[in-house]
Amino acid sequence: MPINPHVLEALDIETRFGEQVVHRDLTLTVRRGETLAIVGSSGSGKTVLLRELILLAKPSRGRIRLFDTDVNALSEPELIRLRSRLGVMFQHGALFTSLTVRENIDFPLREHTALGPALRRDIALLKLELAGLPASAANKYPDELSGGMIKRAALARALALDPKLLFLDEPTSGLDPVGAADFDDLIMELKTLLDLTIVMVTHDPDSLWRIADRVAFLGEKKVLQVAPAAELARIDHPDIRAYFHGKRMQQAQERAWKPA
Amino acid sequence: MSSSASYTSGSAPATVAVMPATLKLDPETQQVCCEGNWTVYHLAPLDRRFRDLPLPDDIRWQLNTQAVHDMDTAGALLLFRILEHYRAHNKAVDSKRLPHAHRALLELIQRRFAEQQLADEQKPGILERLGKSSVKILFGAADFLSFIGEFTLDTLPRLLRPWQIRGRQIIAEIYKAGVSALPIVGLLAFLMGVVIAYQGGIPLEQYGANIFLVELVAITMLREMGPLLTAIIVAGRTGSAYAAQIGTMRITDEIDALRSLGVSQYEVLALPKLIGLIVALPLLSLFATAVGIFGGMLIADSLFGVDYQTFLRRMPESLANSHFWVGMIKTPIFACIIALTGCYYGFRVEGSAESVGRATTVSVVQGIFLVITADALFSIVFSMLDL
Ligand SMILES: Nc1ncnc2c1ncn2[C@@H]1O[C@H](COP(=O)(O)OP(=O)(O)O)[C@@H](O)[C@H]1O
Ligand SMILES: [Mg+2]
Repeated sequence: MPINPHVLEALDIETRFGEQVVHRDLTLTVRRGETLAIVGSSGSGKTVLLRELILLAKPSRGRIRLFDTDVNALSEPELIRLRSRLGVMFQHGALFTSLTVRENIDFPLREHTALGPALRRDIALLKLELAGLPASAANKYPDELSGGMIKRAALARALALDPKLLFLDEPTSGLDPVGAADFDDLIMELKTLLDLTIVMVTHDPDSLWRIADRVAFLGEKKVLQVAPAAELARIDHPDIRAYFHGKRMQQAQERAWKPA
Repeated sequence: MSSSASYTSGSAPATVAVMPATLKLDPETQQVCCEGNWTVYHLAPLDRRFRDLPLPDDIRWQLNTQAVHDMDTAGALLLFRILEHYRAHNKAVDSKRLPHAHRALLELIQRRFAEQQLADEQKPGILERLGKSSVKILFGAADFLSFIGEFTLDTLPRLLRPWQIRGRQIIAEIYKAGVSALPIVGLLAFLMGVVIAYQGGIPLEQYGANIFLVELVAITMLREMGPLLTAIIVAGRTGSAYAAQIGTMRITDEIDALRSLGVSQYEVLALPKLIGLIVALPLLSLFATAVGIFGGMLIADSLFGVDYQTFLRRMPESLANSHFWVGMIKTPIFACIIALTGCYYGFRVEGSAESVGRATTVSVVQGIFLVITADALFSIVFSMLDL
């Protein structure tokens, strides 16, 4: 059997809320091992699409294939199993505020595996370490962490079960430029280290230029174009041009072109 | 290795029989052989048992992971722990000839983990916890008093200039705490009146003293049950809402925003609630008392032959006005207690959503506790005054 190069395929997706159509005939595929960024102006339906891809919401019409499985055909218990194989980092972290950072990472391990406490603790600490947090953060509660640390803790929890497919919703939003650049580096490092496929929604021009292999541009209720950022910037479509020729985007492009 | 393999195992978990991670000693080749799926879902059996497995018998053994189907960081971590276990028993095995992917993972663990030191969480002992919670209660009481002090200092100037008081907000609070509570307060007070008349009527009837049902129902409702019942319902309904609202605003930093805009949080949030409740609770108590007496009257008429006219005529004749005032005078005090505890616990919320839940519960428990305590004090004072 030939190996399907696509980990995730969203085919002919239509999403509507009552009368309002958010997506129409939207098709997006994610290749194994790539970092795909989803961009688009505010209200273009990025968050809604992401929720559908991580199986938290069902599109009104269309098919989603995940790891070669047609998601529509799955029962709820099978969906739960499949969801646990996706790593998701929510925009604001969505850490459980009543648990410490270590307990947050431990939570999926306890729910989905029968591992003993000692190994689980070590796994949690390893993920913490991989996400670039000091061990002293392990026993802190989320409200004792800074914004950047919350993002890292959320990433550590997303990695708890060693997912192969990682979703990030605006990973660098709310971080200062240095922190955002560090976080981009971290994502790239983890991607090679853990052999990840990454899908991220982002507004950060720097992330787009630096870490995305391909960029999917959402507009007119569908994916207008998927291409590397450099190619996308040259495409002659009014929406895409407007997006890529903003000042911040230009500066990010210049920064990205500088030799490292 | 197998990112592809892991995708297939992810895709059809039910159909592909997945081997759990296993470990075998092969004395012939002097190898420790790892087999199966060394991924987080399939480690549990080995994690439980590996310390009971036999050890290699000397240090020339090799680690062999050729037959491992797939390995992730959790699997590598378990492998690392097993190797540490061997090393601790002076039976270190040679892990140099691993496939590249596995060696990379293992090195990742060794690098990041070897120096990892975590201070174990210390569970406090019983004495420590006892001491801590006693101190907390003491400081809690002091803290509540200091809240009342702060609140007074903040709002007193405003009270001296009544035209600056937020009338619309107060009316909204009166509506929320008072008007919308009418149905539940009415229903419960009615039932209370029914129960009192029924329970009291049976012994009175044995002495032919049915007519004293009037005093029984009216005095109980006027002096105690009307105000107390209302206060308890309002503490549960409104006090908790105050704590939840203010607590949530704490979490979303709205309180800090208010303060940074140069507005006193007590004056904007707590004062209208306090004034609103001081107005609403007496009226609500009055209503509860009336409905409760009506419930008692209904029973007196239908079961004990004291008809409405007799009941209504006898009430003003046999009862002193003081019963009414004794009941009513308590209600603004109850209102202060409920509003202040609700707001206090709201303002003391820290950080998490759970803390809002806790504040809500505690505000109700404390509110009811303080209301009943105050009621008891009132009884003592009134009996000393012969009222
Ligand atoms: N649960 C919902 N009910 C109704 N409309 C929704 C819902 N969620 C999102 N929408 C609408 O879908 C559109 C896309 O939203 P969203 O995906 O959040 O945009 P963005 O690209 O900024 O993330 C918006 O117009 C929004 O109003
Ligand atoms: Mg969004």
